Amino acid sequence: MFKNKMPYIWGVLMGLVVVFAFATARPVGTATVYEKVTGHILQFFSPEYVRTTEHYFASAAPVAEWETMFVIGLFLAGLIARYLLGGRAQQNYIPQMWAQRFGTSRVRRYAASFFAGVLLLFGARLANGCTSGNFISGGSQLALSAYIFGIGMFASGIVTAVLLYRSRRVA
Amino acid sequence: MDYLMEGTSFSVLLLGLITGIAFGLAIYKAGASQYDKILGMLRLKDFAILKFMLTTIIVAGIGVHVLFGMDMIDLSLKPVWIWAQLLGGIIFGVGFALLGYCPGTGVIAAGEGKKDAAFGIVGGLVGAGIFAHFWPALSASIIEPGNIGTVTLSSALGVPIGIELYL
Repeated sequence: MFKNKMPYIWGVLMGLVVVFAFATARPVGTATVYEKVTGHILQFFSPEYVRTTEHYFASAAPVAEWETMFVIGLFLAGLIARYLLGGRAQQNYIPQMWAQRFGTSRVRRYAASFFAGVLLLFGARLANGCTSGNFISGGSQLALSAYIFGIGMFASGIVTAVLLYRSRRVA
Repeated sequence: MDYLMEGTSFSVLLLGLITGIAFGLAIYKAGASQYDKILGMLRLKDFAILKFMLTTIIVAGIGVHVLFGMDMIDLSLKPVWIWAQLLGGIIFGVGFALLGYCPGTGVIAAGEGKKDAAFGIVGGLVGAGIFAHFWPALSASIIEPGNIGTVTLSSALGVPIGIELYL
């Protein structure tokens, strides 16, 4: 269980980042930013709709705030990994495990990803937070909300993953 | 453009950016922005990401409670919405197993150049919009009936905060 120590080492560092966020600003979180970005895109087409749809921008200033910058930071971390740490994904990347099970069709992978993204953020907003905002920030405060969400997420995630991969052997 | 300058000071914005980069690099180094690692966990074959996540929560939990005990921070608890959090978690889990990224790790993976993650983000924007559109109905039917306010494990167990870490 402790043979590979790296997950624990990065977990300790990540835990310290979470504490840093608490001490300097607020708990980490991601999902709300999606809703705000959608609100801004819709505002371009119909300001009237956004104004009358109660939930957009309900809780905080829409653009320049800590959480938005946090998500931009996540994207920058990905760019740093790609250009400075040698983590560049190959052209037309398809996850290896997915390719073994579902083939290398890009259309299929991208369509599934889009659909999965819809479920992911609808679920996260319904639960009032995602893995970072609900499970990690809430879990570290021993908030019951985090554990209810965590049980639902892992139970259905495990069942879905096992069902998706049940019919063929994939290494 | 007025809302761009509203409220939040530059130093707070910079802190958000720095925290995001640090958080993102830890996730990248732990491998949690990889589909294969996430699916390895959900298929109960590779528990590296679970070890990473639980270590994060334990270390953050100790740090947060120590700082709270020293009056240096306030807790920021989300209310318990029993049905919405359970159902939301279940819907989230299906998306998580299909996509292999969560809303945060997907943004990192997109930065790495993984196009599937970018499609996941676009889907996520649509999903968040669907939620916002149906929020009044969802609130009345699922969220509010299960809203029991903020509950922590320590309050539910009747022990003072901070103590449960030593049990």
